[in-house]
Amino acid sequence: MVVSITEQKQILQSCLSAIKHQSNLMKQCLNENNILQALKHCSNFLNELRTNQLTPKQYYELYIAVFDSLETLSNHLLNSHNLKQHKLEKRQAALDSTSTSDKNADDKSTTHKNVKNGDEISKNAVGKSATTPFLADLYELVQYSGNIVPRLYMMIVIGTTYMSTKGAPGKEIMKDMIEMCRGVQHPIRGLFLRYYLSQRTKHLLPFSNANDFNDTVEFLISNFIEMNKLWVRLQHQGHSSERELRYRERKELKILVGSNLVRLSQVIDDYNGDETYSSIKYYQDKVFPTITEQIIQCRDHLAQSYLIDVLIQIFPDDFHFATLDSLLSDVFLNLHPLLKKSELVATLIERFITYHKFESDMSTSEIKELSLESDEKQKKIKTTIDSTQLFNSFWKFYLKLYELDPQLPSEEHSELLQSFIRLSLTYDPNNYQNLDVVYKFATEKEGQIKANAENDDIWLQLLIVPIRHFDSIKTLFKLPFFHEFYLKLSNKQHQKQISLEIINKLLGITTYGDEDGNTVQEIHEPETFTTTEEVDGIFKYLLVLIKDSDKQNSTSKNLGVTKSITINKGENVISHEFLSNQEKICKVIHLIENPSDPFKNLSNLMYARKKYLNKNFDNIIYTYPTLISRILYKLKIVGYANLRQQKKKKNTEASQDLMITSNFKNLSIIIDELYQYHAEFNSELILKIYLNAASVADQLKQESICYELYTQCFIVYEENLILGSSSYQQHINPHDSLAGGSLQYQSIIHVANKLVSARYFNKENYENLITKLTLYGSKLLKKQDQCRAVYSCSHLWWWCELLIEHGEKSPTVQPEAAKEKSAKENIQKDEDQSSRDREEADDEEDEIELYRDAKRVLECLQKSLRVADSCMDPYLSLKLFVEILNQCLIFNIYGNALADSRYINGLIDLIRTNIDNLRDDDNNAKTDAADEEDDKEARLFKQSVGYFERTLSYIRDQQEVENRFEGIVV
Amino acid sequence: MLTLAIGDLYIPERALDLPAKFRKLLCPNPQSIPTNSKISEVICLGNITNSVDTLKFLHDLSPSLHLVKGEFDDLPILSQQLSSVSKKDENVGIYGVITHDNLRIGFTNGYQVVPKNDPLALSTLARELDVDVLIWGGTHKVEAYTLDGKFFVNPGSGTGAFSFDWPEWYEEEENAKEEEIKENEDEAKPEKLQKANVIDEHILSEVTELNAIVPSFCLLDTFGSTCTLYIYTHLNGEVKVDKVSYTKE
Repeated sequence: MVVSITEQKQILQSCLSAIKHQSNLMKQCLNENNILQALKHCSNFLNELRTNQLTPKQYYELYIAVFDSLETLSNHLLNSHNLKQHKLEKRQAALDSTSTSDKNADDKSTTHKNVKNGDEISKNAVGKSATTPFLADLYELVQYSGNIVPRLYMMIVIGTTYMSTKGAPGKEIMKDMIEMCRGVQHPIRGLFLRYYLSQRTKHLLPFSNANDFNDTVEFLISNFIEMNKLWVRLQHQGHSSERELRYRERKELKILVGSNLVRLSQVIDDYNGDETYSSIKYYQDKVFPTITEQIIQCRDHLAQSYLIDVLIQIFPDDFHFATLDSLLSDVFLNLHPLLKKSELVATLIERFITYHKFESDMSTSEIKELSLESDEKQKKIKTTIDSTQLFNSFWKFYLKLYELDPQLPSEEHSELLQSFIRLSLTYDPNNYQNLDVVYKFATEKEGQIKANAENDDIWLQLLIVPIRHFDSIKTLFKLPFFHEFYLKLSNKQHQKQISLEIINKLLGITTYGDEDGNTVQEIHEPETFTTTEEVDGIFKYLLVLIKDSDKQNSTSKNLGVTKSITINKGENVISHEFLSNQEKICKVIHLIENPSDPFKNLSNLMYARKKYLNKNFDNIIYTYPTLISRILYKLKIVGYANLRQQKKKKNTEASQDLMITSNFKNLSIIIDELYQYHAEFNSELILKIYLNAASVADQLKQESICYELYTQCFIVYEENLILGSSSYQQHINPHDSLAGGSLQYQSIIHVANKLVSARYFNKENYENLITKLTLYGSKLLKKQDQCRAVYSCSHLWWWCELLIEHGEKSPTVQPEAAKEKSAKENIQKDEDQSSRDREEADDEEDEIELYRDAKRVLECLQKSLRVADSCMDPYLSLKLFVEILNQCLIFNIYGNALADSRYINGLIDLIRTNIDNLRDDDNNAKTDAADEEDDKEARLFKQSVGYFERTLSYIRDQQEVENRFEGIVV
Repeated sequence: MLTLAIGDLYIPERALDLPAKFRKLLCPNPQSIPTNSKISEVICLGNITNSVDTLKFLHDLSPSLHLVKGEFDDLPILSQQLSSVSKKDENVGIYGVITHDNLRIGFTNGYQVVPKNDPLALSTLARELDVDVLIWGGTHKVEAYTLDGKFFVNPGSGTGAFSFDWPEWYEEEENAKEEEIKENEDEAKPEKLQKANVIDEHILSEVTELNAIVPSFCLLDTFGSTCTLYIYTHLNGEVKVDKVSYTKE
């Protein structure tokens, strides 16, 4: 019985050549019109189909060869039949005409009567042979064929040919053929035979009336049932070691069985029936129960999975909607226990989803065409499918399944739930209850249906699907169990993945692969959060990222963590990924926005910090600056609005003022918290944050708060910065005025730049602060830092910009004027004030009042000059001198009477002397040779001289063009 | 030779991202690197704060990125992030100078200049660096002017990040007009609306407008001794371009 592959090939070849040979002979006989001989050859090649040594594929090759030959036979028979029929008709017509002429002749003579009778007899004989044509005879004839397989093939080819002719007893032949087919019980042979039957009858099935239609359906169903039985039986043939082989073979044959259902669906589709007929009802009552019963009864894994799939695919959606409940609970639940129901459910649901999309596309296009009827159309769609009902059906099925099969693997659960989610999202995107039911179930049963923590990832998709699907992430807020289930994910990495997915969606970043396989990022306008609930809703998903601790000791860098960033002066490392996650959290903070109610906005921001952001103090250094900036910005807006309102109403609204003050205090607490935990490495940043807050407080006329904030700055400076070293260790060239200098120097510059724009301090406070700062500057360790800090601070006594709004007055410049109104006794001071006012009025053409104290400026410049002079490095001294000269020029232009031409001339002389001295030294050194070492110094010297010369040429230009710097000798 | 000057992005501290239109304009071809074939150098004035993606975006635009530290950049982190983007060791400085033909171009964030943003102080800085064009930032206000024969360019904030400095006040006439309108409106409004905690909507939108920063950047087209400056601003969803020219004497 066992045949090797090569042998099989040989058998196939010999069979094929035999078929070819015999079919050629058959064709010859047909040409000679020798039908009996032709049928004999036909039987001969059909004999080849009796083999049982070939694989289904090979057998199919034989079948194709035979099929073609049989078609030739069928065509010939049909043609000769038609020819005969034609002749008969012609003869009949001729006879008719003669008989009518006879009738005409009748009156003339009756002598021909006998002849006429004889004619009638012959006519009847001919008529008889026409009503029982030779095809019927042939159909009888071939039944005497010896072997059953050729016999049945010939029966079918002749029978179907006969059926295609007019007046043939089609239904009897059909019944006969399908009965006879039972004779072949060998699975492969039987399957192909019945397939042949179904192919041949394809276009001949009658369904012109209800009776015919019923018979046809019965015919197709019974053929399907028999084929399925054969197909299932094939599995049990042969040795048990060949089970796998059989299984594969059966897979190859599945389409033969499925074709019956396809035909069935077509017939149902084509049949229109009468008024009372409904195809859905017919399917539901007649077709569906029989087919599914067969599918369940066969208890075969392959048959069930394939046939259910075919059933779902080929019948229209309406049919499935109608039979959904029984399909799910009567059919699916009774299928083979090892069958993956999730796949079947997924197929069904995909089908419904496609249908839904199609329908909605149709309805929108229809709406465009017929806007008037659109309402009705939409109603129609809604009535056809009740989406809640749909979901409930699936859900009922799932619960039963869960009950019946507690051992169902978790993958199955996950897949099923995913399908349900997709279904619900498509059909009922606004019904969040369904989704929540799914998540609730998943949450509750998670312990039971989850095998172990590691395959968490199969549940990931369950959460990701709706995130990707929703237009708005706010939809998630309506699903309390989404979060519950999210929390059940035991793997933090997975939680993080979901959270990032949510954030990306929030920020409107959708990443997808385009046609070329590249990832494309699309950015949409992100949504904002206006209420505390919304803040809660979103930040609870961020907690995992907020709490995320990625800080490792720097030793771990050597342990394979390659892509990382060292922080805190090399003590710790963090990963790039961590930083980018923190960036995303910060971006979400931006989405807490409520442009129409800034106070509410502020409280939401504070709330987010209190409840979420402060959950890991290590990380607040990455998120708080953003939070603080946002709070401060909102405060700035509120404050400005408040000032405007006050100005317009002329009455102070104390409550708003109070709210601003309290918000500033809360803000200060937040900065303080940051300082508390990150003073060691991030004091400079915290100083800058305090400065920003101070700057805003000043603009909002919150003087006492502003003063406190500056005091805080000085505390940070004294506590941490004064002794700290820059976190960025690199050599700073002392000659380079821009290189940044020490951390202390930088801090002073930061404060100076904010103080120089402070406008709403009273004079005393302002002078306190700037004096203190200058004092810090003068105590810096390095001479160059000291010198530069002091000359920078000199600007604090000489405002150049008004900054404040027109019509406002800075209290810094008019403390005495204010006092003057309240008490008139200080005449002395009054005079001072007026004289100063006059001075300033002279300086500035328009009556802008700026705080200016020429004497103090000069003191600072003198101080920095002294420091520069005391440098050990003469080149550095020179550089600093030139820098100071340039500062003097600025003051001169801005009208400081004390930085006059005499003073500047002195400075220029000083620099010239220094240059000359250094040049002499240089020349001496050069004669002493060994100028290599001097190279650097020479270069610095050259730079300073260059800068000096550029300064001089600038003075000359200004003298010519702007008429400035009068009296300065260049 | 085209050079992009952009700065004060504050991503994520004060802004979510560059305006989408800017991104598209700057990066017409995101698949190839460099992503913009016309720009030969990018100058970034810092204050990126913490965004590797943005850093990468700027780095990939042209063959060469010059990045200086902004006031709120964490220099060690920024340097390491840049190194990871460019795949080589990078040291981010506080200022830089490049030479294009006859023009020396200096750039710095400018936060270390006292008084910040003062034209004379900046002029002094340009003198010290011996540059013809000085690009500075830190103010979030786009501007360009010629002073003492030198060209000063401030590309503003690429993202329109908000600033805590003083706002730029309206012209007085405009202000007066608006106040008139406001007063008329106020009269029409019933008094009960003026609750203590409610801020007048009109005033709110006005001060928001006052404090709003227009996203902007600059392109410098340098040739010989001439620098043509294209100023791009993003106003009401539209990108506007202005042109200024400077020729070194």
